[in-house]
Amino acid sequence: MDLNNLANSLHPLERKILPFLGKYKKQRDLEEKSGLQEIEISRALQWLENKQVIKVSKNSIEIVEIGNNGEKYLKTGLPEKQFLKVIENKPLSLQEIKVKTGLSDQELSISLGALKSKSAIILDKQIKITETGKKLLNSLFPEEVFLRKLPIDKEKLNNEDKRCLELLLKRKEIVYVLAKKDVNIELTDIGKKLAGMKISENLIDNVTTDLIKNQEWKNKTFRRYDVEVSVPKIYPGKRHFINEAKNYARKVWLDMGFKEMTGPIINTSFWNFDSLFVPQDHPAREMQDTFFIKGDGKLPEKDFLEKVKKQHESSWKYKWSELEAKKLVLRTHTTVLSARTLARLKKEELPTKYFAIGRNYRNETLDWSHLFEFNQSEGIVIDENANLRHLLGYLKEFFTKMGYEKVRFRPAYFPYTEPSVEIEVFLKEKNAWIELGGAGMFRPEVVKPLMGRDIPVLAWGFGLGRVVCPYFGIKDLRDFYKNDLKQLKEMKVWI
Amino acid sequence: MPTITIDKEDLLKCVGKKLTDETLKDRIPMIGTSLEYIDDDELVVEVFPDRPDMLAGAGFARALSAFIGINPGLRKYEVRKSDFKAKVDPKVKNVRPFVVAAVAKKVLLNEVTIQYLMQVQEKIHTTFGRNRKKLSIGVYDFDKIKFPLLYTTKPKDFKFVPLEYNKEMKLSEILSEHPKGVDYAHLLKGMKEYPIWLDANNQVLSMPPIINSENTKVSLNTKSLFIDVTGLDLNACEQALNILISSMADRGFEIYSVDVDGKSYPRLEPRKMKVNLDYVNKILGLKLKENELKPLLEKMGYGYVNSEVIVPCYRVDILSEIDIIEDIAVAYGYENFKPEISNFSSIAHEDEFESFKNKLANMMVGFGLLETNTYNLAKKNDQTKNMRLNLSLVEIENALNEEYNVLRSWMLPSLLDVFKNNKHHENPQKIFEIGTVFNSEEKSKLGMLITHSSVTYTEARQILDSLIASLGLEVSIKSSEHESFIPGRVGRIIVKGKDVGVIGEIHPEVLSNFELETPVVGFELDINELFKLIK
Repeated sequence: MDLNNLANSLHPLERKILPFLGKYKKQRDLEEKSGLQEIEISRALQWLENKQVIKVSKNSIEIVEIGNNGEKYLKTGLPEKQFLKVIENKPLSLQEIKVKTGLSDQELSISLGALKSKSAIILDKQIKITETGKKLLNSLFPEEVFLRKLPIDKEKLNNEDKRCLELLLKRKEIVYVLAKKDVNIELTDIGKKLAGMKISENLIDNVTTDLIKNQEWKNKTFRRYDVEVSVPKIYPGKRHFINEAKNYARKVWLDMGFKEMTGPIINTSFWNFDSLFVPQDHPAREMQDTFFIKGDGKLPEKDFLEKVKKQHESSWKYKWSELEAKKLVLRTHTTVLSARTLARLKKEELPTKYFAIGRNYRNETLDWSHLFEFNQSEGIVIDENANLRHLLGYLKEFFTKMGYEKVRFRPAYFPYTEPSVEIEVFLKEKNAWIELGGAGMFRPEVVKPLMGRDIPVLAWGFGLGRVVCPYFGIKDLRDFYKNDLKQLKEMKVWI
Repeated sequence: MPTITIDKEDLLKCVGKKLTDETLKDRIPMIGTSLEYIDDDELVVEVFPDRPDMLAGAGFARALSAFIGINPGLRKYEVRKSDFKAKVDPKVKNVRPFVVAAVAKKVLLNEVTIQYLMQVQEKIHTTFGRNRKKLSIGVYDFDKIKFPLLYTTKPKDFKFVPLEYNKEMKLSEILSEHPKGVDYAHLLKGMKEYPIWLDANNQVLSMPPIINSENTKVSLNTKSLFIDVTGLDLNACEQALNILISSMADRGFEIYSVDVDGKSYPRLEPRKMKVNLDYVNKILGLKLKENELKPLLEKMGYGYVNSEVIVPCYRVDILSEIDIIEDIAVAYGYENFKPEISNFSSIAHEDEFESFKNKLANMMVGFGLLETNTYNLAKKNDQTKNMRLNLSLVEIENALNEEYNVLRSWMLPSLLDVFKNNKHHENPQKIFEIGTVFNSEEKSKLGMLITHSSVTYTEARQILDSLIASLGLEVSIKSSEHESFIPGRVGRIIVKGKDVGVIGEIHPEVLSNFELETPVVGFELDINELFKLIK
């Protein structure tokens, strides 16, 4: 950057600190001399480093600092000194010493130990000062000499200091060692030139209304900002990512000319199962697979009911029960919407095609690959000329638009479709084909009772969550319902 | 879906050709089974519930062998006439009425085949047999049985030695103590007498559908087998027998008939069905010719004679022509169909209410709110007690997850639960969701909550006012009472004279119930009502 531009980009804090940088090489010193606060200095140094004005190197050092008791003893004298003072002229008992000095028991016992090791006292019934003790009393204790030096870099201690430190560290809050980062600053070549320049004091920082109205900016220079620096993060309001994906999938179906189906979540077993030719003793209808709701639902009109009943009884060879069909369930698939649509479609509306995206329910224990509540993308194409290749055509189109380059199909089984198809896509990350959902052509046994005649109906219904997991980098389906607000804020949108 | 474990060496022997793992991996999924696992010794295959015939080791090998062209076409099974007889006591009628049976001789059992025999029984029991309720299979050492046999019932204190036990047990004891008895006792609940198979010496063969006797147990030395299927559905019993017996015949065992009250079983004759070539081509979108049909059908184990499809006895899934058409598609190879979009045009239609909900959600995002996605299934306490309410809720009869055993009746508890789980994240937190709630009817509601240390009613009210105004409507608030909110800081939301929701500041007791420590304001709007007011 041009040196002038650089000069004009300096923040007021940077400008303040720049004159000190030639003289002082350590951040500690800057704190003392510049009159700025520590945080202000750190920020200014960070910015200057970004601008390559200075080079910063850090090494950690240990500083010996004075503690609360240390400060106190500097004023009152060390406890052992107070101890000595009261027995200078006359031996006293420990109790008397305690009363006279006002030292705590702990301080007393430490003093005793310290003075004994210095041969400053003789212990008897009463405690007596020695000649060494008298000399000691009239000079400074080495510990006091040491305390007066603090704070000090641990590296700079002499042998006597080290001995004192060791002794004092054992005592309560007299000294402590603080690990500190020592920041060394050196001006770079650019920095040296910059320091030598006369830097204008007259830069514009914030653009104020007055500045604009009075055109005060005309003869001044704007301070240049470092536009490349990173700034604190903010987040927009956001749709939930599953809804981002749902809306995209809706758009794909709408683009292909499909009409949207919606409907209730609570359904009779009749719509959820019977109308789809699922026999009443089918394992899917058992308690462990389906959520049942207390109470019974209403069945459709008799004529229609009779048709479904007959189909079950003639194909599956059992006695069809109205009671079983009345049971209320949380829909286990959006296919229930397809069945309802087929039942109400009029001949003149054909050919046509429908889609739905909605929640379904299975009585599962939650784990990474199973949810009791999940979204399904459903579709039907009702067309006299529809065939298996069309089914594969629609599916391939959809999955390609959902971002899967390689799609393949293999045989499958569902009670209400024949032929049935399993859709598989190739996942690059896993280097494997994964199953994404089921499809097929509704059996004539499904279509005839619903529509009054057999007509080809292409149909599919697959879990949408699984389809969009790779895009969002989700490995656990429960994440769709986790509602971790940080994750929601940071999640990428569907593009 | 059921999976079976297959011995690789036995499979290749039955198929009649050495196949590489690559071929197996490529072909098995294309028959309509899924290869879950393969190593040097064994394979694990998932079989769809419509194909119980593939649950038998030899049955699976038969399908694979035909599909890859080694042994295609219909297999013929011979049943030798015999004078083995079984009588059915009318007493079984109200207990477990139907029974069919067969005998297999020249049986060669080894560790693998005996394992298969147990596997196929168990898998058919759990799937096709609906956990032994619909039907159950018994397999016995033929040489330990003296014909004629009697299928009858016996009272609860009748005794015999059940499988894997060395002492006699009363039938009632078997149901309460034997592990199989405990598992399946519910199938005989409420019956005065239980089903029993006896031979001519009054020796017990089994107590269907619970357990066989120890005396007639099959071992590696067994030379001949007696097989029975009892159940509630004669047709299904016959089908299960056919599946089992045809797979034994495929292994070269000799099959002999058993006369059950004048009817001879097993009946392994194939069925004839018609397929219409035009219909096949119409459904599949192909242009197959008559002479192409035969090889395709043979790949799937059918015969094709005089424009009629010959369906083998073990194919219990073939209900109508369409089932055969699917098999033609499988034989043709799903990978060979060219995907195509149909050529009719139709006009897209977005459900208006769905787009309305999307509009609302996008506006909420504009206010800087995050959309959440919570379950419609809810915790009962969260919906009621924790909200200082006593509501009646729509309850799930049989929830596996006891925590979530009701359907939610309103949104705000779900959103408070979100706050509860996000206490470690920074404030302010502003969330909304449009979800389904369940009362006397299903409705869509928009819930919105904001929390931070200085949040006030005004903040919620501003969003509400602005949202409703954007819809071209006017909103007014009518002061009211609601236990979940602070008294004097809650009101009903009125639009065009209609009550469409509630707004206010959440009661501190509610906050404590959700372990929250900063104030929360919010509202809940009835979207269905709002939509009606706009229309």
